[in-house]
Amino acid sequence: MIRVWNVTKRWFIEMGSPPLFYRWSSKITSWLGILAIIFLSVGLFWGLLIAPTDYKQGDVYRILYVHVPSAILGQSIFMFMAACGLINVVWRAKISGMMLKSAAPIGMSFTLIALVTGSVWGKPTWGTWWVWDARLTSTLILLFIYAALIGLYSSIEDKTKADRAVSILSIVGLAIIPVIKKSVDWWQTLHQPSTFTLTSSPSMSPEMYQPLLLCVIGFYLIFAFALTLNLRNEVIDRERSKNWVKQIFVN
Amino acid sequence: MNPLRKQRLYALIAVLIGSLLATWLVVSALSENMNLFYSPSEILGVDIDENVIIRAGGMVKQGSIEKSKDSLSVRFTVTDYQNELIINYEGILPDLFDENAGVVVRGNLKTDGTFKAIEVLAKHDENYMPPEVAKLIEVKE
Amino acid sequence: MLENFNDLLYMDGNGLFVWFCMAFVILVLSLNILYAIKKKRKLIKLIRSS
Repeated sequence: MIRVWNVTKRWFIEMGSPPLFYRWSSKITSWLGILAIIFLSVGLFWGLLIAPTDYKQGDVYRILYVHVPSAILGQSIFMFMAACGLINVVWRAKISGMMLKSAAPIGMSFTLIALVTGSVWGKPTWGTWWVWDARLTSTLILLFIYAALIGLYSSIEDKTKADRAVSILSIVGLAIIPVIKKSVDWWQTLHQPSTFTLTSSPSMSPEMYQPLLLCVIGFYLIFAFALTLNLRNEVIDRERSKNWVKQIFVN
Repeated sequence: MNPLRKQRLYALIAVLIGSLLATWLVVSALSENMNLFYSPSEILGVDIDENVIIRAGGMVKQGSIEKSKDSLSVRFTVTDYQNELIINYEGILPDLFDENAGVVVRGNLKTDGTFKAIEVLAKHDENYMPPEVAKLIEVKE
Repeated sequence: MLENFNDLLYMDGNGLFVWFCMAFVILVLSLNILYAIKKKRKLIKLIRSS
């Protein structure tokens, strides 16, 4: 058991060393992009054109095919960032700090998408663009935490110090995630309760949630793709005076 | 794990617990205000000034919607299945406003116990299905 | 298919809301990708000139 742990640990450390990471990630980047586009286009085409209309909302419910995945991603990217922060603070792994920084703008984009599409969905169904209920307000706070992380990062010159500060802030900010998740259960909100829960079957017919599943996978792939692009930039930016970087780009 | 790392891990866990605790305190202090609306039962019990704008919410009672023929005024009953509140409203209703559907109204409580709404928002539930399936469920019931 | 195309855009009057959302998503996601590609070009230039 300990042996397995040590081998995996060594493997992770090796794969995370900047030159090696740069080499192996170049092979998967384009695949991630292609897969993301396939999943997203099939999922959205299916969701927008083939899936049946809703008995109550009609066609406008189709906004959920982008709203739900981006809300999921906005939260899970934050959890991913907090995990990177933990690794960065405890093990001082350089790559995890870069990962945290690279993920932040993507997570913020998804949270923004969730808020904007939710607002646009709210107007025709609820009758208002915005209401200060617990779900909407806590998601807005998440957007501000993302902005604070990015702001904090750019305000500290020393990159190692910046990594550490942002890592700790990401752990502090993690407390907002359970509030967002449970807000619809704890308080009376205008936002509806979750359609998908771990404990019961989804309250949505299969021909509607199958395309949604594809969209969620597509959004995760787009995140992985954008993350790899950002991370590769971050790696060569920080190591640009090193020989291995020069060898790749200066021939 | 080496002792230094262990120490850093414990420090981080302490930070997380502290942050969760702080959030929990803020949230529970605000808890009453975090509710977007009051149910009819909550409103019935207390004395609310006529000039105070509040939000009330619940289900629109079946068969209670009375629309005026020559104007946009409408009168309906909101229920939480224990108490009821009569709402008067003049204006455009959202698409999803219907009997047996959730609704949140903003306005003031008149001295006669009725509610004068200046805004009506429709609340929708988490169920999504095609119209044919909805019909089947209705027939079964 | 072609006569249904207008119905598809219109979506019972809510088409504008749905299609705006789609456009917004595609815009924000492509901006993320484009920014990364642009930054890479800038970095390569920087490395080559140093």
